Amino acid sequence: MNTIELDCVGLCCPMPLVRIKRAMDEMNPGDCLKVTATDPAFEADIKAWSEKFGHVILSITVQENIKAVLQKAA
Amino acid sequence: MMDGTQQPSAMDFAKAATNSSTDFQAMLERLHKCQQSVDDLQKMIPEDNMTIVVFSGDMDKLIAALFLATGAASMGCQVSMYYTFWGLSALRKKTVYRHKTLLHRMLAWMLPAGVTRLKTSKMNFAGIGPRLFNHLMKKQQVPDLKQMLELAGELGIEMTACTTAMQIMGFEQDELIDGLAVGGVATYLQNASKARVNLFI
Repeated sequence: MNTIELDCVGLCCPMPLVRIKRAMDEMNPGDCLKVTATDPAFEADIKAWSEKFGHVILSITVQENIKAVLQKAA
Repeated sequence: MMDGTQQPSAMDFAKAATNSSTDFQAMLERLHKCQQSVDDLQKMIPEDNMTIVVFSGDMDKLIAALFLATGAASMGCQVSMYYTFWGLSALRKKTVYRHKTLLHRMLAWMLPAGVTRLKTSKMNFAGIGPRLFNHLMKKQQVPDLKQMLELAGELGIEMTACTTAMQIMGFEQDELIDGLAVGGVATYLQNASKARVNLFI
């Protein structure tokens, strides 16, 4: 099980999703993706996006940046 | 032996057997019809597709259309965009005058010569508006229209040029950006009837 980090700081919607999709496509089921973003819509968007594909959100923390850890669905 | 509880005769058994076999036949037929209805209905259920008719050739509206399209594509939707009229003329890659009628030459001259030359629908200020917005977008790391179109191609978004608009405007396929398919109303409607989200911009 690998963990990959993805930096989406400063990117506006829908670019974080585009990058996450690309990263996820290359990953294996069970792998984790650690995303850091600043887009204010990111928290809501990543929830909707993950639900769509069935990926699991392991954690979301909103501080200065929004950090989300996703696990790719089997 | 006339006590009211008559024993069923062989004749009765035969009758019942034929009855139940016709019942069985009828049931099979109904089942078959039901299956067919389900199949037909399944074909009518929209898939997770999205279509966008891009009618406008304004820079800001094209940005909105392409953002929605790329966003939807990263959510796993199959997106198809149909470019018609001003939207189509925004997708030129060069200005061609050769082998055109006078009116078509005039159109070629007057319409924006590519996606970087589009006007904004508001606050155009004779071309200052688009520059201003491009500057602001660059500052926010938002890709510009040219990059968005490339991204759309990479994400597998289908882009179709309306053939009628091409004929009216006098555009050949080689003067429009690469990767455009051509199609008409039927192509669009076939996709639109299978899509959950259909937008006109």
